[in-house]
Amino acid sequence: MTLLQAQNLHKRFANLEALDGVSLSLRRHEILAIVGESGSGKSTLLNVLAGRASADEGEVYYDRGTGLAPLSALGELELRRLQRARWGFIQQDPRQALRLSITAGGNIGERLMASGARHYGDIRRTAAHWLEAVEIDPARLDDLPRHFSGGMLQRLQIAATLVTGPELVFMDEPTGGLDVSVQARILDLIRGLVRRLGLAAVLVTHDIGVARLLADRIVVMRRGRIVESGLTDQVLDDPHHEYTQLLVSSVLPT
Amino acid sequence: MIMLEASGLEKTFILHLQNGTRLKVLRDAGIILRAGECIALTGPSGAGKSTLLRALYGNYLVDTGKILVRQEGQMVDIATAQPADVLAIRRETLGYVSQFLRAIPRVSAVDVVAAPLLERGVASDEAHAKAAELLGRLGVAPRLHVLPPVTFSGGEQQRVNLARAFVCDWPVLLLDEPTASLDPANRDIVITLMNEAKARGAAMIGIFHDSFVRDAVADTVLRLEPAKEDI
Repeated sequence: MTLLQAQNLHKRFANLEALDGVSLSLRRHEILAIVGESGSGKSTLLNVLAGRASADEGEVYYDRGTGLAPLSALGELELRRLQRARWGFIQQDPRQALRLSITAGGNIGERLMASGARHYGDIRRTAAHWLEAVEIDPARLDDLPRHFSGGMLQRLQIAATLVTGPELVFMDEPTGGLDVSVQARILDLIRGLVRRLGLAAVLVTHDIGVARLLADRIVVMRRGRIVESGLTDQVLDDPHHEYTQLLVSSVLPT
Repeated sequence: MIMLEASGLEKTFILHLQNGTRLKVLRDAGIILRAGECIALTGPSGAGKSTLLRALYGNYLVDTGKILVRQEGQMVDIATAQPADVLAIRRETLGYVSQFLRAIPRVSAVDVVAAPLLERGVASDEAHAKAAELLGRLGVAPRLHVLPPVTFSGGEQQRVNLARAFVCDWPVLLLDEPTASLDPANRDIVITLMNEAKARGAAMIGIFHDSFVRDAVADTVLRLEPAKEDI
């Protein structure tokens, strides 16, 4: 049942221990939130899990259907193929993930073509369908995303990520740069899509409200270590570690 | 048939931000609950009623003790179960009604109520029809069904919460003040719903401050006393 596993990850930047012995595992269809404040190592952890950065020590394992196997054993090309075919990555800033000089439909279609689609009509139809799924008017298929709002750009990135049918999605503060009113819409959208598609996800956020809404399970990071982990509502309602208690008590009541 | 059996439960909260203050709330607490039975938890404020209920749901982690829940024919210890197993127990066996609805922006009342059925794999049409029916029984006007409960009054939110609890035939229901913010008419509807659930074999543990409600649904009373601090 384990889809992704990390064992004893260490990573050092100059005099900072970004990851200091991190182990975790993720099951198929499970949503895991990594929470902590900036500098806790959570984004570094996400990048190492997603094969975008390497650890100094430790290993990440992934099950491509034949049992858990270390990522480090994959060649560059094989890793790319895995990332493209089975994974998705949603960045905080959609401008870094999208190409603003090609149309919305093109941004989605490009991912489809990279995974082998060739029929122009099919690609257009699928792109239009995905725009609709993320609540963007399909009539905007040929518009340049340069003219989209921040919330629309983020929804476009979500469409472009999910169009290839990944089984695991990494998300780095997916609502971080957005207005509060837009955040709720994106979160609800992510929540619906992730459940409907049966995805597994690793979500990095500093917002425990986001974690509560989306995640089955949570790990709390501080100074490169996991200080507490468990069922999301259990960790947030009955935090044991001093740092988790501080995080939970620092949130304004809704 | 025993549906839930908890024994030897101890729970101490350590408040690190208050100089490590220790609050001992549960001390050798236990309960045995059978199908078709309703147990009312009583006792003074601070005796640990809500803490016990949350512990039974796996929302609070007990320090010691067992919480065996009959999940698909087997007794599973929720106190030591893996998160995925706790979620499965909640999906199939354990329903929980809190005093407040945790409303999610943009999610309509009918979707909130239908959610537990959808998680069990019930078809969307059927789940939504059942949800609308329950909301109707609890007097939530049809025009409100499509609106997110975020803007509802306290009583309306609580009725959405209750509709969600009774939409599924949960074998075990944990109820924390289910009738707290309801008028007498709605309170009577909830009593009827609870008695219907009992009649189909559901086991219930509840905190009912309203003695009228307690007398109408509870078979047994379990009185909790505040745990004494060790000397």
